[in-house]
Amino acid sequence: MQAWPLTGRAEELEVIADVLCADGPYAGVVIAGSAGVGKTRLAREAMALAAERGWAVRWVAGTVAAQSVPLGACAQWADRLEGNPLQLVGSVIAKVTASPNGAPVLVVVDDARLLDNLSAFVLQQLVLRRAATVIATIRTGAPAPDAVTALWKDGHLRRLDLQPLSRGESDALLQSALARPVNSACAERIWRLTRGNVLFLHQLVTQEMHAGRLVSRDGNWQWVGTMEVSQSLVDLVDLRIGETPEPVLEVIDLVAVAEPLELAHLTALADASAIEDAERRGLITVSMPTSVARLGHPLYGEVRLAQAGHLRLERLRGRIARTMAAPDRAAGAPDPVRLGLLWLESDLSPDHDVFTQAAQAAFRRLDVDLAQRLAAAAMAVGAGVDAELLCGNTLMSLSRGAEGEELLKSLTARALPEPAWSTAVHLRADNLLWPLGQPEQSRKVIDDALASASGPVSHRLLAFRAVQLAVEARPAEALEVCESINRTALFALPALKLACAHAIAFGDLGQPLRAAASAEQAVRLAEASPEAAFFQSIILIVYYTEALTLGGYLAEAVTVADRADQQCADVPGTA
Amino acid sequence: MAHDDVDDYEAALRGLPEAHSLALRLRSAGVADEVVCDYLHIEPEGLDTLLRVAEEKLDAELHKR
Repeated sequence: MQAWPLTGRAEELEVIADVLCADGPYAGVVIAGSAGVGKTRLAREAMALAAERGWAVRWVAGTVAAQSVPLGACAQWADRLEGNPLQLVGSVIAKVTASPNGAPVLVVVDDARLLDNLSAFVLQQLVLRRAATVIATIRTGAPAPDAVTALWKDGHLRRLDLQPLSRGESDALLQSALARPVNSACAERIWRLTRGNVLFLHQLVTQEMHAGRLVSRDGNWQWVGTMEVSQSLVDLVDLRIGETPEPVLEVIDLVAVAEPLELAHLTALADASAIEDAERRGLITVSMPTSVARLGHPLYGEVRLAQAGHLRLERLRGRIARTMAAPDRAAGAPDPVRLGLLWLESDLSPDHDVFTQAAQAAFRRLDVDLAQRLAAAAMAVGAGVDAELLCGNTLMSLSRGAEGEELLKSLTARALPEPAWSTAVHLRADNLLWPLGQPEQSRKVIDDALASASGPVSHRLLAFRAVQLAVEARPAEALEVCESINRTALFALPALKLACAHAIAFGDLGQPLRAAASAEQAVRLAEASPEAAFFQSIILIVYYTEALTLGGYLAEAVTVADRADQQCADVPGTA
Repeated sequence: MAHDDVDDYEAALRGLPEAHSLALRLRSAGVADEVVCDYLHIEPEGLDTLLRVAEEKLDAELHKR
């Protein structure tokens, strides 16, 4: 059967066209509706019309499988994103909104309720900054990220509640799709079941034609034989999928657990004819030129995943993870977070390297909870000190100071090589100073460490001592310690701390220009040290603006504050 | 409205998707917006657009007659 024509949606398309063309209060449209009502089809049609009119169009889709991967839905614009995490969202937005000759950009977000939090934040920022026009689809009755819901609740997107077709529209669609009249009894029975839900209609017709019960006789379609039809769309999808050959089911399941799944991986895991069969049946779609496979409809995945046992899902994830990690993969290097999560929830033996790399990447994408989970998983199977330090860092960032202290205390007690040991001491002292609010204990950690350190290590520790003195409002002593430090002994983290100490101390001593120079140096160091940048930059900006304000450089303070404001706008959460 | 016009209007209303038809009937009966939304299971933020779409579909139905 050919693709069915869009029917009964002229008025809805007009609403969308109005929003796209008018310079009105809306940055786009959210299409809300029940499963199968035709939200995605309407969005695709609107996207095609916009493309015809010269818009640059982008397609993003939330999926169950990618929901736990930070930036999973925006993977096509997020690959190889390294560097300062505070600039991550800004760089994704820049890539999404780049268009030739300044053409307006339309971003279509299908199933926005399934976006991961960071992608939802990107969507929110696209809308709030009016950086692109957005069409988002959401299923009614299903929870969505707050960042998505706020877009229409706060009036940024026009909400269009898509309704099932009328009886007349349904009949017209049926006749058009079947290319011949449908007898009235047949149309009536179909209407009673489907009530204008286009997917239900499509599934029903496909199933009944396949079963030989919907037949063409005397120039029109009739529904013959015993009526053995499910009363709900989900049951019907379940029934239809249940009749699918096992190799095709395997294809659906593989895509469902890792959607969107690169075609290169899918072809390595499943029989080519089964993949073609799944595509022919509309159970999966393959997007070009990205060559990724997606489910034909989210319900297919929901039905299959609900039926699949835990062990089967683990096995499928394991097969996909192993294929992704294979060195001769045709699909390129996998997203480390995606690979780590698949591996973590698979039947494969835990691999601390995979988990550590995933944790580091998750941390760079500002998903500290996930980074902590992955780092802990890496530690549980004997990962090295990198995972332990990251775990300590994440616990501190999550304000889980007591757990952080337990881990970091044990790390500082070990004979770790440099720079791991001084990093552990810095993190422990940081954790005690800020999340736990125990400055005396923080000082004692540095005192004890200095007692056993010598050479370059002691200079690294003194950098933190300088910070402690600076935040205790002892700027002269802080500067004295700063002057005693051999800077060539410092790596990124202590160098950053030293610059912070200088900035705070100079500010308190009424030397705002020197404070500003030190703060700028600290900002550059933070940009080069993503792990440190996460929280250091925000703290630094506070002291930076304070120094300028106290020194009477109000215009400069406003400029720095504006820069910080922009930076914080790119960071989800409470930054 | 003449009798034929009333029949046409009623027939056009019946030709609409159920939610659109119901929204127009409830509004013309003076039912409060929040009650209309409750009946239709839609969010208040979507009511204006639903009514606009309903009116345009009604116009299209009337033009067919």
